[in-house]
Amino acid sequence: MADLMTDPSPDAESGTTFSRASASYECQDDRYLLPERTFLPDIQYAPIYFARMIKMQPMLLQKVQKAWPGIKKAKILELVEGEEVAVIGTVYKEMKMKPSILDEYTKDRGDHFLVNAVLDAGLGPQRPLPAPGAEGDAKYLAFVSGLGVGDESANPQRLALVVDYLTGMLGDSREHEKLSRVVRCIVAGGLLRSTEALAQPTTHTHPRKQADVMAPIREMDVLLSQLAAAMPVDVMPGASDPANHSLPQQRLHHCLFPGACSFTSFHRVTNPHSFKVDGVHVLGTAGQNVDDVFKYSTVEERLQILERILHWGHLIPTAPDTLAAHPFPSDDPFIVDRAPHVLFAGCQPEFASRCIKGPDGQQLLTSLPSDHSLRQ
Amino acid sequence: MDSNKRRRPPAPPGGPSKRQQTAPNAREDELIAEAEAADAEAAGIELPVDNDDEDIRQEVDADFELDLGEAGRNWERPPIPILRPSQNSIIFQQLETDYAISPPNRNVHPTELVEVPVIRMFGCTEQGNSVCIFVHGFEPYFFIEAPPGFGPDDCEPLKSLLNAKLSDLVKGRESRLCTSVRMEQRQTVLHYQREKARTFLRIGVATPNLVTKCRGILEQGIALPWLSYHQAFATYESHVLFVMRFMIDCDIVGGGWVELPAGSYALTAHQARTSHCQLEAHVHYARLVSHAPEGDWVKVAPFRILSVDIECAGRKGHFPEADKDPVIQIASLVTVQGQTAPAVRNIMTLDQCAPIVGAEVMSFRTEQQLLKRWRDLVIETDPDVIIGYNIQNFDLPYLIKRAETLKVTEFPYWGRIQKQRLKIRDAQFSSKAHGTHDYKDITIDGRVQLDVLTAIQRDHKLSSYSLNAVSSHFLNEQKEDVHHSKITELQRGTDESRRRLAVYCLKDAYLPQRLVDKLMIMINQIEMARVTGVPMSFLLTRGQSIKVFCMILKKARQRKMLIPNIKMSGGANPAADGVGYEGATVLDAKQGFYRTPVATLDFASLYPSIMMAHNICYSTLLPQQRQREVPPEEVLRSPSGDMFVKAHTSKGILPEILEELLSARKRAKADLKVATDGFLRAVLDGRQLALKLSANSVYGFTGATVGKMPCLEISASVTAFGRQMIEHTKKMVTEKYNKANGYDADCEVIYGDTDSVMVNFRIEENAKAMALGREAAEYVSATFVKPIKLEFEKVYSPYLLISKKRYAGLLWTNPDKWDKMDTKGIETVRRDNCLLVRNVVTTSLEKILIDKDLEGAQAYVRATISDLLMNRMDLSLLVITKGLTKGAGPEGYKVRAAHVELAEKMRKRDPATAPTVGDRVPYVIIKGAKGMKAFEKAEDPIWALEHHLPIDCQHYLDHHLEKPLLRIFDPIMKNSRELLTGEHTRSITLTTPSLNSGIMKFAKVRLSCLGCKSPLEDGETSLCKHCQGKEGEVYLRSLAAVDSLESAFAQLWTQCQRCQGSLQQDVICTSKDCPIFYRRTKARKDLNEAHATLARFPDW
Repeated sequence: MADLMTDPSPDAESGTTFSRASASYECQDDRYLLPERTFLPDIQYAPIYFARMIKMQPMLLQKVQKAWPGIKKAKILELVEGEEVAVIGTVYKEMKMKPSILDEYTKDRGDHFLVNAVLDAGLGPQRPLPAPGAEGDAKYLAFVSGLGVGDESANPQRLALVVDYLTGMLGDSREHEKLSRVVRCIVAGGLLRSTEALAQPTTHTHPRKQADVMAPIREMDVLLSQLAAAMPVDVMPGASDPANHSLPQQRLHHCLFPGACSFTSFHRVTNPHSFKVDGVHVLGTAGQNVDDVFKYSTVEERLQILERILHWGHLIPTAPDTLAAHPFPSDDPFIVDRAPHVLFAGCQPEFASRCIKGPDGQQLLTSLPSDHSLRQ
Repeated sequence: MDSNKRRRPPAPPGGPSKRQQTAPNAREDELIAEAEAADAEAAGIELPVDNDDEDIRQEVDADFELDLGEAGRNWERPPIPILRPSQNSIIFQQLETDYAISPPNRNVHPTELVEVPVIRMFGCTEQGNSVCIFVHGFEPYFFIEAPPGFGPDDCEPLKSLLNAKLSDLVKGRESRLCTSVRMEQRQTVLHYQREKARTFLRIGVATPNLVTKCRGILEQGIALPWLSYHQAFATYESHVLFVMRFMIDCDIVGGGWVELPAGSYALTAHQARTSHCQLEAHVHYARLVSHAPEGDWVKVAPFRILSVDIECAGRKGHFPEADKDPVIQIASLVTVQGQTAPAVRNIMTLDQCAPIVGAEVMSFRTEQQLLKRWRDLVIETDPDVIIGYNIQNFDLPYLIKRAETLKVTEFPYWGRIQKQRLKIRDAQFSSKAHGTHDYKDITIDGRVQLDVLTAIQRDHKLSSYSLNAVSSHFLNEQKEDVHHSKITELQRGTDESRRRLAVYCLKDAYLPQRLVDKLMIMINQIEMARVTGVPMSFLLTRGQSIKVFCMILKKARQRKMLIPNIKMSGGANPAADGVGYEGATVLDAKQGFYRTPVATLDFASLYPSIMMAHNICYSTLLPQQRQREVPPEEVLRSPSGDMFVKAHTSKGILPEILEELLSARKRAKADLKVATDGFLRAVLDGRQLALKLSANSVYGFTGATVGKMPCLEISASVTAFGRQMIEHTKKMVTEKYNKANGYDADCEVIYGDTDSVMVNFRIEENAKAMALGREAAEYVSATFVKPIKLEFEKVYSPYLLISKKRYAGLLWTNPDKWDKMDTKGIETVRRDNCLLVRNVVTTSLEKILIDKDLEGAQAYVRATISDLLMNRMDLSLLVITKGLTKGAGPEGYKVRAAHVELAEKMRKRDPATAPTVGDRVPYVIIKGAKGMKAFEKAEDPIWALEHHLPIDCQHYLDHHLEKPLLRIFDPIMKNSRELLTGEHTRSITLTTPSLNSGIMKFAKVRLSCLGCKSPLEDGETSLCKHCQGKEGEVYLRSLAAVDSLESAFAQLWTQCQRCQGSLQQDVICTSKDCPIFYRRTKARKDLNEAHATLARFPDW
């Protein structure tokens, strides 16, 4: 990015026009959509854990047989002294310091048993990756997150720069050529700087004050419309965006983007978001899962967390305990039964990516799009 | 039993009441027994144990054999070491002592009597073996004053005379009823006697019940023809229980160590044992060696504690009754004193139950097997102490009654004596401190019963005594609480649901044990028994006065003095209003808010120190008529007009007891400072507490109008001295500390209670005020007689004095940092107030006292009032709970109280979950129609929540908030009423007409626009035409609501799962004491509504 700013290429006005490459796109977010939205009268979180256990059990059973052939599988209740057994269950991390609504709460668990090895679900099966085409017609996906619209401290110039770059206004023909192969742009959450301004009761605030509450949203709408004009855009809600709090966050409402919604290429999608581009299966979130695991564990490197998430076979391991989640009555949509080709998590402190090889041949790119704090 | 332990409904008052207040008049024998019960000491039933002896004999021949099933893991006690009676001695800690009438053991106690009282001492040795010692030869006796001219040779004729009189009263095979009459030199305790000793007659009888019969004969008057003397005799020490008589005479204290020296006892062969204890021996009482609880005898034996809890499957809507509802699970937990991990964790269930990690699960097909097997468990584990929560009133009686209905005749035999049936009878415990309540008195031979509920109710003042509330208060653990109506459901379910019930039942058995460890109830009981000398089982079943009585008996015996057994109301001086006497003074309280530090000078244990200083006692009291006999310089006149002999002529018994107690306490505190080992520290701390309590209860003993030795002159003069000293202190302080003597400002005594004086020196810094306080304390103490001491400990700054016995202030003991906020008589602690009042009062006090910011406090109160009136207050703050002690209906409450009406209403709705007698009923006040009375507006919070019933906020402001707030703000603000009125009290009226009443039936419901509330046409769902433009803002507003509610919902429900301990099972907790119980349901309901409004924004 930085070098581009310094020497605009001489033939900017040479007029060679590039046409945007296109790719097949199939959105697979139906499992994250909550059509009926209302709650059963006595819904709780027990069903989501139960469903998670039942759905992951077959996967785990195979892994157990492979890892320790012939070992007896037992329920936690049938533990007998001195006998080594494989137990399948949800690992629950008991932490005294965990902030709890009953702050003075402490609990010690009565019965103990010795655990000498833990096996996680591991990578699910992966559909074959389509043969990569020649270098020439390689297609790109642009991941953007943490735009932080409406943040007084940030310099608005930078936002305009990002959009112009992506829409091909900047750079020389080499850049344009590469940019024209950007097939789709994914905005991975972090659209607004923060939603406190929206949160207070606006009922009896003064109309004039109410107006400026909407200013960042209108600005965001303009930006996205420019982007949508140039390429298909998927907009995911993030932690600080005007969407519901518990995961899966539903699509941002069309009334917030009167301008952008007029473009057919503008898609509002849920968070987490899963889709297939030209056969490449991409799955990702706006980063809440990685942040939460980072908060409650001693893992240093965030990319490693993303990797662990894949091995655990569950996209949001800490939901609903410490990360609010929708109490699904009978299913747990966050289970990663098929390993995606690309796994991303938005709004992370710095950009990083790594390609890993799974035990039975899956290969996979994990990447962390940058957060707006990068640009300060 | 289910978690919120409730007292069984009090036993039906039918049947002839055992207690008769009428003075005993000399009719036949039955009445004497009645009189004996009537003046039984106020603190509990003291039915002479003798009249039960007859039914002991019939039981013995019930033949059955004990089929002890295979014992579970480490049920038995450690094996007994090989013991040779001639070389080894038996040393054990005695826990329980009682006696039985049985044929004598001739080789230990040679006597020709047919039947003698044999004392049985149960205990535990150092190695953890259970011991049962039969003590023979101790003869029950009492004293009478020898008539004039009575010589040694008159003893035999008196004995035969008494024998004749007794034998026509008692038909029995025994011929020798009165066994001995001896002359002894003793002196009476009551009133000061100039001469040192007089002749008394010691009358020994065969069995303890003869003592009362003999006393009856003597009190009616008896003719001694050979002395031509006919007169009624006053008896001495004839009301002392036989067991206590034995322990006092042999210097054995409750919970003390006793040794049978080698060769002094006859060991019974293992097979020939008559008790279930491992070691059994017979010994003569004279050979016993008792060790005083000092030095290394302070230790505690590793005795075994069995904690029990049962679960019953009650029919729908009824409190489980023993004759109809089956016992489905019994959890037993045996812990050895001194070890933390329980030795046995056993749960016996009816029908199959899934295994539980770390517990022994035994399942049975029939209830009979379950009960029999549990009896085997009790006999096999052979516990010394049985504890549990509310076992005295519910668990144990329920088991026994249940065994009766199921005709399991060999069930109630879990005492330590083989083939000895348990006795269960209704008894009543009444004392001023703890009120009167009936309980089931179960005598389990050899095992101490400790009901943790009674122990906690005695020592702690809590808002609710349910196991859940108590465990969350002391153990800081929020226990899951399953309503008893769910228990039957769980029982009828699968192995899995029964397993869940079993875990829940095990927890109920585990918690009392943890409470006993945490609050050191066991240690404190033992220390109290050792200090007062009273057997352990007396401590819980009887009140304070038996402890003092025992101490007085021990001291009197050392001084060769006797306690008369006459109705001693003494010459209560007519000035006092007959029954009572003038209480302690309270100096008038100068209401106000004092910013300068207020020093508190209080007397160190005032009443005991007065008794010691002025030598006030029964034995130093001079009755009215004999006041002239003693020269004036030897006598002290108390302000209430009573005369007491000075110490150098004759030292009183009470002062001596008090001196011993307080010096023992100093020693214990000194040892505590130096002790390092945790267990020893616990013992010493328990001891110094027990000593302090006993010293303070001595004064109470003399003042009790219905008691063993009431003497109003003593208590009247003690309080009179107290008043005099308070006035004296006030005068001294005000005279010395004023400008005239060079001090910065005139000090002022603003308040004084029975034993403390609050002095305001009007100086700014705390340090100087503290120095002055110390100086004043020394200055005033110097003027008092030696043991009375005025101490200075703390300063209050700032200090809010509202009225008599009602103040709040920040307590400082060191000049730099305040310790805590100390309040008395303020709403913060009252239990039937709703949480809102408590929060408002505490926060406003904090703002006034800590931040010293009056305006801030007022602003906070105004904000809370406006929140309340604008109906933004969280429901759980408005829940009021009241105990339902009497049933509704005719014999219940006269005035119709809110919670009683509500209980009725709920019973009609759903009998299963309706609160029954003894429950606490939570309710909120809802807005009723015009003119509805207060009690009709009470509603169950959950019901109000689900049916959108509006809360009557005005009621809360007028009835709940107004008085406490005015009381706090009166001394601070000019007119505190303006807090309650004015701009912030604009209220919002929520009218939710019910849909199916009257005109509403015909109305067609139409959605109203979210933006401007105007009715929408049929097509639109969210906004009318005009507000379409603002759709973004309106959407964001309802989105914000959804946002906050979703996070609240997630936090609340995950917390409940964490508290319940499992992720896969639904949360069915109905614990009303838990703070988030109501918020949880409210959050879910609000979230549903918020999502519904959000869904009205179509999103394609």
